[in-house]
Amino acid sequence: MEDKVKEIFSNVFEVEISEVDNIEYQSVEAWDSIGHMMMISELETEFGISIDMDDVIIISKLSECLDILKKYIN
Amino acid sequence: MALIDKPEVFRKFKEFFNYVNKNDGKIGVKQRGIDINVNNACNLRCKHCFTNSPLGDHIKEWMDPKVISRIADEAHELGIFEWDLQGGEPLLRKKYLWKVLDAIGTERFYMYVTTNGYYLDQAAADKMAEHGVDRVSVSIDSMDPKEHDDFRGRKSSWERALRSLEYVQKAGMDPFLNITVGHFNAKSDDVKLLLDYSKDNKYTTLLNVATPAGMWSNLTEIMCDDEDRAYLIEMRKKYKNILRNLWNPFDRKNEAILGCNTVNRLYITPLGDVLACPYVHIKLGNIYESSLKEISTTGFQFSRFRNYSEKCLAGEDIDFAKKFMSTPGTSIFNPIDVKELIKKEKGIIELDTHLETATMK
Repeated sequence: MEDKVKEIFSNVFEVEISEVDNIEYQSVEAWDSIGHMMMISELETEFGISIDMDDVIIISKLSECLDILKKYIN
Repeated sequence: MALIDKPEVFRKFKEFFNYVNKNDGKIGVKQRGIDINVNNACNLRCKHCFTNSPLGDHIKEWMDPKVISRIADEAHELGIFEWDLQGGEPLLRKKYLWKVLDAIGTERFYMYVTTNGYYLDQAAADKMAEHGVDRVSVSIDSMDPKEHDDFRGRKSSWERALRSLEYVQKAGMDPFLNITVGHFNAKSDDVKLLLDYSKDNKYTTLLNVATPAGMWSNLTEIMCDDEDRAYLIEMRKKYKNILRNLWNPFDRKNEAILGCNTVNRLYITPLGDVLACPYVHIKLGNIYESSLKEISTTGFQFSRFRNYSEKCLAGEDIDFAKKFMSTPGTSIFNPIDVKELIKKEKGIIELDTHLETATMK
């Protein structure tokens, strides 16, 4: 799962895979509100899940995203 | 202010994104916004005003906040995620503006106010932010103060407009610098200077194409042609902070066209008439007589509004403008009824079918 999430972060936020651990919400141009929404949408499609809005708002870096996804993916 | 700060807006925006994605990047029949003119009075006399405010047209009607609240509930139900409060000049009566914003329930919408900026000081900007406004759009016509002031019909309007954007930014809202572009200026150095100014100040630029409506009624020579359209896309790629409502905001390559937003963004007049967009003065219904859902369904029955158009019908499709926007006396307060157009269209289809059948026999 982690590799796939990193790939999504890299594609949506337009950074190298090696950089995805170091970026945060609004720290790069592509991770604005629209980028955030595109990332959530990609995750939902990829893993066939629907992420609650409470969780959507919390995610501001890769590690938080991975923690939250564990709730949805067994 | 970010979309993510308003969870309900974020949810609706995501629905919109998913719809567009599944619909090959096109807007289709997905509702997105409300443009509302709650009162048509204005302190400026702009040469291009599409609401005929400089002529004093219906400047005394103020929409009741209770009615606005009901429209907002209906819009929210339809999945509409953005509201543009415009005029007239929304800041003429600030107390009324605060009431309207509270009535809308701004936590449910990406809320913006389009103003000429003349009465927008820091206190007003802070108050707007307090009332849940996310973005303020201010139109600038030129980097030459005299040219802007002449166009707007009032001295100091350029200086005040530019300063208002600084207040907006300081208050934490999204500052949008609006530019009206037509064939007369699309490729001009002056527009380039405006684009540079907006980019340098970390604003977003919104391009509104000039339309032969209101004070510019029947002036089709002002409309952008294909070369202008292509040039604006070039600018979109170059500057990356430029938006148009018909461009696809999700396309990172800055090339894709969402399609003309008629009916997707409904325009409501102070009389409660609902038009296909601010510039296409074709009435779809009235909010005192029908629900927004019924009105939208009626609007999409007209093929020109339902079908994809990569051109802005009002500002780039000269055939549409000549056919549907040239009736003398048409205005936001005297619109053409879409039901007549639907009836005519059905008549033509029935006639075609009849002729085809007759030919086959």
